[in-house]
Amino acid sequence: VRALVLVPMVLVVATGCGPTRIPARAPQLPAPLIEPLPVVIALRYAPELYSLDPWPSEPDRGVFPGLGAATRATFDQVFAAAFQELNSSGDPDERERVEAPVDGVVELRLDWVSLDSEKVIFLGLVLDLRDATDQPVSTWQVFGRGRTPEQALRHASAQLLAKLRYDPEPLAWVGQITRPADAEPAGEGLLAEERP
Amino acid sequence: MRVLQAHGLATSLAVALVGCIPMKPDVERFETLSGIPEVLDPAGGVVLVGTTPEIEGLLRCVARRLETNARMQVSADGQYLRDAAFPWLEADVLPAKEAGRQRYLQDEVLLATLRSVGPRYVVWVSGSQWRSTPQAAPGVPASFTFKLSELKGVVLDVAEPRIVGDLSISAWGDDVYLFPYFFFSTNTFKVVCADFANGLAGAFRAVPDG
Repeated sequence: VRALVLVPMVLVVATGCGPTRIPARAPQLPAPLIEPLPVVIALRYAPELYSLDPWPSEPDRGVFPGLGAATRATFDQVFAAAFQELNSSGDPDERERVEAPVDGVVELRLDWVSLDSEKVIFLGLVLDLRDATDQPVSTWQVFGRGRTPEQALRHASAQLLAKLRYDPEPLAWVGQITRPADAEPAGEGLLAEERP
Repeated sequence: MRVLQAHGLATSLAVALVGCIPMKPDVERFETLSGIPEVLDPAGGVVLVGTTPEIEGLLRCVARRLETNARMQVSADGQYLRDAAFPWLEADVLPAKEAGRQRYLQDEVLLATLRSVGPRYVVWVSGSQWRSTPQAAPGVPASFTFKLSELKGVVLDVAEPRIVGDLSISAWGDDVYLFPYFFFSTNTFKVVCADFANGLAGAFRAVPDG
């Protein structure tokens, strides 16, 4: 009887030890079926998307090696499809090298990662959109979920693309700054002022 | 050690008792589709597209039942369709409200893409399943419940284009698990599968000249 009780208990305790390692890779997203917004954007990723590896989950059930790089690679695809032009790599070290003026700045950060008891992964992403004078345009939370980091990143990508297509705030902003083809190009914006 | 033994004995007793509970399948709900005399054959076929990975198994069950019992040509593999229409058939993107859905029906690029690669009908199925947090008490084995949420299905006629069905299947159910020794399952999954397949067959029967 003791063995019958103890063996399963030991197994349960053993399997419950330590967070699960779930390596993350970027999904290869299909070409989005959207028209890019006619604006020039500087893309920023929050510093921890470069520096934090692996990402811990909340609660502390898992860790995600490579999640920062996978997130950047995923949203490189998303923003390249969502906007007419991106003029920066998103790397904080590259910011001062930006030379072309832009219509706005997008900064993406990964706020939290969770892993529930059913091994479903949830990602909480926050996107700040600011105009060329550093005025906030929109802040969104985007969630992604899936059985794998790739599924969760694809899910979050889809939410973001749909928001950019239909959310009134960015559309109103784009409408304000969209100029006729013969008008002057985007003016001296935030990034131009930052130039040394 | 006495505590452990007591715990083990209580667990064994609970397990034995649970094992004695007769499962009573809801036969009537399972068999409704068998009584459909006509063959439902929506020209061009039907693809079920799920919104979450959790319900993929359920969609396969629904497709199998419709193929077997109603002889419909139904596929639960909508991945190629989701890739072609990315991001518009992804989870949580399809609008829940009528005004938002009309955008889909007016999006010529999306419709042309679906027509070029897809079936006549796309059934967008949303819902989720989860298990509750395990709860334990002294002398009682930890247990948790399995729940399947309400399922919703929107049937898009890609050719017309129009929405020809809007299903909502109330499918809350509890399946009790005893942890860690074993689990037993009530028939929640099968009942939900049967109910949803029945509802879908009914939606297609109601489509004029589908």
